[in-house]
Amino acid sequence: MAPKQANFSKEEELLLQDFGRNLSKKSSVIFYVHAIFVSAIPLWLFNRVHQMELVDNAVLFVIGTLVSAYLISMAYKNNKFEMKHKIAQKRGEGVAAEVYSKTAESDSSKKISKKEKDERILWRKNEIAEAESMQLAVFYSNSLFLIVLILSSFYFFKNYTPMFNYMVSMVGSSAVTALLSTSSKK
Amino acid sequence: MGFQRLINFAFIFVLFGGATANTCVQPTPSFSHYTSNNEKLSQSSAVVVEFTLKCKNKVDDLLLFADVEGTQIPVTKSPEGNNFQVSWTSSSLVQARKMYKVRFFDEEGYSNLRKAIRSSQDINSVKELFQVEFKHPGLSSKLWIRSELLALIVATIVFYVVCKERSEVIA
Repeated sequence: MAPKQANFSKEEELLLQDFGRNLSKKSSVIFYVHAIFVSAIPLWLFNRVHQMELVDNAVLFVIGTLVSAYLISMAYKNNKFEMKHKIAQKRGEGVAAEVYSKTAESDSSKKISKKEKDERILWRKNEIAEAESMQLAVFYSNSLFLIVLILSSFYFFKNYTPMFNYMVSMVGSSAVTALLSTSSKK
Repeated sequence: MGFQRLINFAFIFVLFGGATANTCVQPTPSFSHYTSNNEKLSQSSAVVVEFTLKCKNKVDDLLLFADVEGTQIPVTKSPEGNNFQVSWTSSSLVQARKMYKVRFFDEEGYSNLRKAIRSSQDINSVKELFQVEFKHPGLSSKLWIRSELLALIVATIVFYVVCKERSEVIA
């Protein structure tokens, strides 16, 4: 078996960066902020409904929120990666038509090469797929997390102590969300 | 002379002994109450009634029992003074506002009450030591569906919508 090439061309690196699993800094920040926010929302629920004092259970809440935020951000990342490819494929034709129409409107003296047009299409497709996949991943993961949390906290573990209820519901819901995000349809 | 003194002492002893008997003469309660009425987030309501009892005679270690809609509950007394408290929870309290009447019995009255219950007599015929009335405010509006069920339904609808959109993308 031939050894893998360690050095990639510039185009290959760009492709890997655009369609790989690694997130840009901006995407990472957006995901972590969303994850912390959605993990912090149930604190209000447990404080008002299950009568858990914020100050008395501060350590538990911090640990639960951080663990849940980490797992949910993992779910965001996985879901986004899975959907980005599909979205890029679906939007390909529309993006190509948009780019062609824009280049046709531009000054006709400036002839744009086919290679440049293809690059523009690829860049635009990546931009749209990135944004749409991020939004859909956040939306899907949040709704899944919240529905599992409501079920576990108010039905399955309703009669347990609030502390146990909080830990199991939060960590369990975020773990289920992360686990389901690792599945892939082939 | 000595016998006369003995009689006098016995009379004084009975006089004071009667004054310190465990029954309250002409009770005058001053009470306050609390009812929880946040029905949207709870399955039952709690009621706490606190009162200070003034009696015409001096009473030590007065033992009281409360009758709340046919249920007898012991009343706790503070170590000092004549401060009492009784509390209970009930799912029926979650319902609409109404006046509540709590009857209080001393030991003798409670014993009569228990006899009436055992012999299936009307418990209202047993005379109470005193009674208090208060209004449970209830709620002006009440959801016909439990709040967690409503939250679950809304979450399910949102999840269904997002799943549909996601499956269109992935397909």
